[in-house]
This record gives sequence, structure tokens and C-alpha cells, in this order.
Amino acid sequence: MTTGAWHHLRNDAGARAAAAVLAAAAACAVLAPALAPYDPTIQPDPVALRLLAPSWQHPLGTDPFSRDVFSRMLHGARVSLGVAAGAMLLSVTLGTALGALAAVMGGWVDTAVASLVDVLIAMPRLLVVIALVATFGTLSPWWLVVLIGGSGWLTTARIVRAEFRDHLQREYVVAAVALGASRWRIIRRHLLPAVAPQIAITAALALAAVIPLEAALSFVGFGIQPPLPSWGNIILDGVDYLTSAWWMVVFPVGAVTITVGSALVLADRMRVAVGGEEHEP
Amino acid sequence: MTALLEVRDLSVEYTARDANAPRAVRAVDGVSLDVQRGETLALVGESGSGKTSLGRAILRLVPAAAGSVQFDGTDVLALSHDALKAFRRRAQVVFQDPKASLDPRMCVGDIVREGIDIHALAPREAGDLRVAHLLEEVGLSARDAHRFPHEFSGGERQRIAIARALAVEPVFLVLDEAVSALDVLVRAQVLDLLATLQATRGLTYLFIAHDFAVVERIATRVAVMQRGRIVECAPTASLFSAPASPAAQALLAAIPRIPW
Repeated sequence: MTTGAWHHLRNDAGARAAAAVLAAAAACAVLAPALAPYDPTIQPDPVALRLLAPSWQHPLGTDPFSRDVFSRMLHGARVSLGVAAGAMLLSVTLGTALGALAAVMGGWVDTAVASLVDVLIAMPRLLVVIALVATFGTLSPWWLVVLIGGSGWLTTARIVRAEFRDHLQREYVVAAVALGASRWRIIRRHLLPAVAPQIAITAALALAAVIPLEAALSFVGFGIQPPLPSWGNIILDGVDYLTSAWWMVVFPVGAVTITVGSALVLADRMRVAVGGEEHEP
Repeated sequence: MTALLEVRDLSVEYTARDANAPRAVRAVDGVSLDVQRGETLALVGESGSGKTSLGRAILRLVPAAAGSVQFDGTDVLALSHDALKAFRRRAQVVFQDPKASLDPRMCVGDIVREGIDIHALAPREAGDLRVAHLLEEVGLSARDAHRFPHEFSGGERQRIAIARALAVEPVFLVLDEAVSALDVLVRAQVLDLLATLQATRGLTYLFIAHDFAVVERIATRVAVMQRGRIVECAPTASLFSAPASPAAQALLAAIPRIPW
């Protein structure tokens, strides 16, 4: 990101708040073992400590197996946000690589990537992943990263391809071609720095898309498998007790909503910062 | 003496994406011209006459549909990958709008240095020294290497673009409306710089312009282009005193009389 847009972003209260929320969520995920008061998987007394309402002992209550929901939420952040971050990185990397390849190579490569995007965009992502899980059995978190990330690169690829094609026409790129620069050099030195802000925006949007996707998969039982906690399967554990134990659903849903909302706000503020810069003289 | 550049029957086509069917548009239509070593051939024509396409096809920046380009005895249009890279060291280009032709995210030193790095002409410190010399040669300061293009005026930016082109030590420069966007005084200064560089470095220029205003001052010969064809080509003095084609007469009549 160029210095002008960066300054704009740093002085934007909305962007700072959103970044702070995401940083806090990431800190919870990283520090979960140190912060969690209880072991997230241990079931101390499934009779006496079952479905306790929030209290000083258990700030977010306990679940039907007497486990501490607060501890499970912290460890769940580790799993959910870890899978989301991995999937986001994979999809943005794949999208950037394929979009760049299509734009720079042109010809049949461009046609092939465009066709692949058209086919994949027509597929409902959640249902495709469910079908794959049904085919291959339950998945480890790593496979979730691969499946969610591998199916999420389309938007990034489209944006990177369009931006690259625009910049390829510009005279500073033609000047580099005239100097004898290789395609790889032009991508690395000119095109990627030019398009980096747009890639950052798609990364924030990708994060906002994959967090609920992981939660949804775990909620329907195809994602993270118990006893490993994720925000999605904590909701699943609580859904049978919706009317009696609201804390099992409200807190994880709130966590998903707040992190996704922050990612969306950050994407929006980045777009404003980058757009504002392009209108500068 | 053989010409440095011999262009024969060169055509350039673009595919116009109309609402219905794509059709080929001939931007350059069977152009032949020679550029002698050390001279400045001015290529003049109104907007859309194909001058820029011709210049870019000569440098293999756009594909040619037909014809041949001989540069110092080698066929430019048939060059292999490695030979093309060697050709790019010898033939360079300066564009009209230096705001668009300089990467806004790179500092001036990196911009000028790019050709040196691509062709591995100098290691790190020697390269810095060369960049400093180039900046001084075009009338800037060695300290400007650390600044960014937006910190400079239009004329200074065009000097940066010229330094970038000179970094690979070319013998031939396509100056594609290189002074057209500059205001009158700055234009005169950049033209002076180009004349000095031509004398000291023995450069050959293909000077593309859309009017005759500055051509008289810099050109050895003038080629007039209209609708993709060259309609007249003559030494500057004779073309200015007795233009033969209607296109040249119209362009001549349109010269704004600005005192230099």
C-alpha cells in the first residue's frame, strides 16, 4: 500500500477499531492455553456442572458435558481463526497467482483460468465442501484449510486479472518491456506493488467469508470434529438447549459476527483509503 | 553508408471490438522509411494517423501484421528471445506523458537503474554511480535519486524518463511525442537537452510529433503520416519551404507562431 493510502487508513477511526478487534481475536487465539481457566475438553462433572448459567466461576456458563464455555471459546478461536487465516492465505495466494498468470500470459492460459472461474463460481461453495466431506469422510483441520481456501480464490483471481490487465497497458509497464524486463520482473517490480492494495482488500473480504464458512461446516458436523472446539461446533452443542441455555449459542454467534463485521469494516475502510488516493492530483 | 533503421511495407493491425463482429483496423498501412545514423527523422501526423503504432512496432512493443524492420542489419521482427533483449539495449523509447511512464511507487534511482539491473551492466555501487552520472547528464542532481516522481515537475519527470532510456546506452531513441505535453519554455529546454545528448552520444532519433511546431528545430528530415501511410518525406528545409502533399500543407498552416 502506498504511503498516502496508508496514512489515510491509520487516521481512520473505523479502520483502527476494526483492526484492534481482529488483533484482540488473534491474541485470544494465540494465547488461549494461557488465558483459558479450564481445560476445554475435560468433563469435570457432567451431572453437577452441566449447563450452568454464566457466573464468576464460569463467565460464559458451561455446556451439556459440564465443560467451561469460555475456555472452549478461547480454544475455539484458535481452531476457527487458525483455519480461517490459513484458508484466507491460501485463497488469496492462489487467486493472485492464477489472476496474474491469466493476465500476463493471455491466450489459452487466460481462457483456461476464466473458464475455471466460471465453472467454480456456479458451484455453491458450502454444498461442494459438504459433498467432498461426504465422499472422503471426516476431515482434519488441515484439509478444511485446503478445501475452504482452494474454493475461495475466484474473487481474488478476477480482481487481480482485471487490475493487471489495466496496468499492463500503462506506459510505465510498456517502458519496462522496452527496457527488456522479463515477465517475472514486471510482475514482481511493477504489477504486484501496484495491485497490493486491492489484494489486501480481497484478503479482508476473504477472511470475512471463510470464518462463517468454517462455522457453518462445523455446525452441520462436517467441519471440526469434537472434542476439539470450534465456534461452529460450540453452537452445535448448544442448539438442542436453545430455549434453556442461551449462552451456548449467543456467545459463539456473537464472536463470529464481531470478527466478520470487523473484517468487513476493515475491507471497506481500505477501499475508501485506496479510492481516495486515486482521486488525488 | 547504410541506414541504421530500414522499415519496409510495415503494417500494424488492431482488432476493434465492435458491438457485432470483431474487425481488423489497420493503424499502419504498408509504411517504408529509412533512418540514417546520427540523424533525427521527424514523424508528423494528426492524432490517430498511426505514428505511435509505427514507433511501437519498430521497437516490437506491438506486433506487426506484415513487413520488415531491419535495425543495423538484423531483422527485428524475427529476433529470438535473447537477441530481442540485446536489441532492447540498443533501441529505447521516451513517451509523451512522464506522469504515466514513470512507476509512481519507485524512487527515481530505482527507475533509472532498472535497465542497468535488467542487463546486468554494473554491480551495486558502480550502478549507483552510473545513476548519479545519468541524472546529472540530463540536468538533475544525484540527490534526486532518493525522491519519487510526484515530487518533480513535468519537465523534470521527462528528464528522468530520458535518463532511464539512456541507462542502457542505446544508439537509437524513439521520442514518442516526448515534448508535446510540456509547456513552451520547458519544451525548449528538453529539446536543447536532446540535441546535446545527440551530439555527445551520437544518438539517432525517431521524433514523433502531432504538429510541426518543434520539428523545424530538431529534425534532419520529416515524414508526414496520414491514415496509416507516409504521404511525404523530405529534408526539413525543403518540406517547410515547399510542402508537396495537402497533409503537409495543412500541418504547416497550423503552426502556432511562437517566438523561441
